[in-house]
Amino acid sequence: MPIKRYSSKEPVVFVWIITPYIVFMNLLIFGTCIFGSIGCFFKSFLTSAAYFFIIYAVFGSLAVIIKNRNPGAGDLFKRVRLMLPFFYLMNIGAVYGAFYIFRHVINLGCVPLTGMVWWTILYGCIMSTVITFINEGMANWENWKNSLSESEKLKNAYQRSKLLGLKGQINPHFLFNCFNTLSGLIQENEEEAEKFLDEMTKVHRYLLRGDDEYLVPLADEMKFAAAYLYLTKARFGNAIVTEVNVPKSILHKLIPPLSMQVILENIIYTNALSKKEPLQISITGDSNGRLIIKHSLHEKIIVQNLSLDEGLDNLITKYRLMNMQEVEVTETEKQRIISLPLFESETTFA
Amino acid sequence: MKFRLKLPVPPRYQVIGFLCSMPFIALALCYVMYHDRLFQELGIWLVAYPIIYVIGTVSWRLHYVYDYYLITRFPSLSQTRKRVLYKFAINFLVMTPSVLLILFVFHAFEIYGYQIQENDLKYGYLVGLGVNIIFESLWEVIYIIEKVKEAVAEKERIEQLQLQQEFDVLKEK
Repeated sequence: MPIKRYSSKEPVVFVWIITPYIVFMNLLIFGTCIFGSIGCFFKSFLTSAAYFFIIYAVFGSLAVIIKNRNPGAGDLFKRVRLMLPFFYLMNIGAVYGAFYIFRHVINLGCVPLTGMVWWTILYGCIMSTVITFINEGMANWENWKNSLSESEKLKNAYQRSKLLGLKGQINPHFLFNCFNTLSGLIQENEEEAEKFLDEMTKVHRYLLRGDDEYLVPLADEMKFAAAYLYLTKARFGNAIVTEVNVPKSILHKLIPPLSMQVILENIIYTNALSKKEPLQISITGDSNGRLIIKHSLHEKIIVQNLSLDEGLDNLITKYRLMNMQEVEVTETEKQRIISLPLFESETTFA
Repeated sequence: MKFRLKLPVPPRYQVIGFLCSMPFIALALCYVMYHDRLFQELGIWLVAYPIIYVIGTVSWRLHYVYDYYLITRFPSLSQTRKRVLYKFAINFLVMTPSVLLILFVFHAFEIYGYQIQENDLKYGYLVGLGVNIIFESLWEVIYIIEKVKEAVAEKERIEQLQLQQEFDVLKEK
């Protein structure tokens, strides 16, 4: 029959404790006589070890029974109140048994010191108490470790779900805006509409890649931005002037997908557009390896889509969830600058 | 500028532990010093117990200051080994000096004719060691159990957040 364990670490506790426990126990039972010769020391050690191993197994089985009946972390004092009195009584029996065996059954060459019986019992009781606490500590330490590990997994799953939720909020906005633009172009200029449709295909192929990547290369995002700006310019004509000049040295860096879509949509739909005062958008990089989006400000009296600012806020939140540097937005009277941190290629998340 | 030293206040379970254990610790130390005379002279109890209680209270508060330092300095799961190893030092830093102080005070004032003996130091040390091993392991178990409860509560909170998040996502679709 296998011995039931109090915790998976119990054998480790046993191995660590058993040697000093037996040596000191023998010292109390036989006095310094056990150090008389190496043979006597090992003979007494092995005999006591065998005897107290059986005793330990009995104690351990009782502990497991009590623990199974009161398994909760909050039941510590209940378990201890039940275990320790039993252990103390069992220690009295075990020590008297040891003295009897070493006096009448097995001759180890050393005579047990009758006057030390109660000191030995006291030692046995103290050690039972300590071993009980150590096993309790080990069992609960494992629970602590498991709970932390599960919490960590849940945190990751939660962040993933939150990010995917944010991503899901973005896609429908863009899709419907594209359809509206295309619908207008078909009536105005068929050729332009066909080109628009090509660019729109590129954009939507990018959007509907079918994977849930958290980061994409800036190069891909810039191709998307170029196609997006083409679609927008096709719709608004000279009311928008764009300049894209991103250094090649940062194109390999990573960025959350659709970041440019969120920013460009926010810029285009929250500013008044006119040929007289065109909206100027410039996309560059800076020396710190950040992507800089500058645009002129043209106050719009009525902003129809109130979720545009929400989209930008979501992007800022997304960066925070990814434990990245903050997205910086600085605004003057005539200009707004959005500075996006870029992730290094080896960045891992979740 | 006024400087105020604020000692950390021990939790309730430590107060109970102290109150329950002190009579036995005092008894053990009195027995180390007076042997069987303890059970023949009532005066020893009346004088020795209050003195041991006063020094014991100071020692207990110092124990807690050290324990508090350890759990604030090494609070995490991965620091358990460090926290436990440093706990051993409490015997040399607080307990042994406290036991020595008790023995030397009784010797210096010759309370009921007490004269310090070499064996008293040995047995006094063993009493302190026993008390330390039992209670420091118990406090560590209680600390770990509190941390388990915190971790379980945190896990439940995240589970709730995740459920809410999934609900919000579904609601928006």
